[in-house]
Amino acid sequence: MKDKRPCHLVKEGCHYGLLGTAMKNRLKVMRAERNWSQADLADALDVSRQTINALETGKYDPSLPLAFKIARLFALTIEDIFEDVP
Amino acid sequence: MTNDTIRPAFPDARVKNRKVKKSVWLLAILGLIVLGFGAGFVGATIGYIDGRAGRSFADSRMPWILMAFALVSMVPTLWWCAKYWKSIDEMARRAHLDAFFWGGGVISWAVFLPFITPMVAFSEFKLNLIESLKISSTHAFGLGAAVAIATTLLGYGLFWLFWWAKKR
Repeated sequence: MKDKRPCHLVKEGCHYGLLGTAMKNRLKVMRAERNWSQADLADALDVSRQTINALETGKYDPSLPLAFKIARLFALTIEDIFEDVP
Repeated sequence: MTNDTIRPAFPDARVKNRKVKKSVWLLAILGLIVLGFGAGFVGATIGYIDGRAGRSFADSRMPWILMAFALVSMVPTLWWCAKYWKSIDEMARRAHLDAFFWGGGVISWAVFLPFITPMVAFSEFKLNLIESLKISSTHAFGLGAAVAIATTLLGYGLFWLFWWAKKR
């Protein structure tokens, strides 16, 4: 049976947006593994630090070009980093 | 691939953290001052010339000159908007797009519509309003346009703030 609880209660790092979309990601863990600060990652991706923070907390879902950029930076696939919550 | 192999690529990808430069804001402030004073100066000059010539408002060239001024003003305004848009990242752009639809569109009109409906539906209400404000119908139209713009901007601004507060 489908779990109808809000996704942030089921999985850490995901939320429902205004239109009910939800995305979970491993960005914070991967960044910590490499000892990069949010500012470092923001610089590398050419976005603001606020964007990195919102991405890590699951409050903002990146565009496809940004998702590819993140995947390339970590030398992983998008699916390795992001996971959609059904 | 190990972390060490990824890390050396990092400085190459390094660019300045994306923030709107101070010069962009400075340009906006200067532009607003120049355009504001410019509009005032043009309006006052034409008003003075019309007054000296004894022209009525209907015969005045003021609307055409102000329209030309507005068109000319659009060039630096659009240039600045393009510069600002390029300087912000995708999340900041998304904030503007959401604020445009939800704040400037849906919410502001949901607030504004109850005021427009009786004015359109009941001309008596409209006439009473114009009479009570002691203004001409031309000025009432201008006031209506100004209120519509102000409501849109207010809705836009409030939703934009709400959006950022929610994402922080």
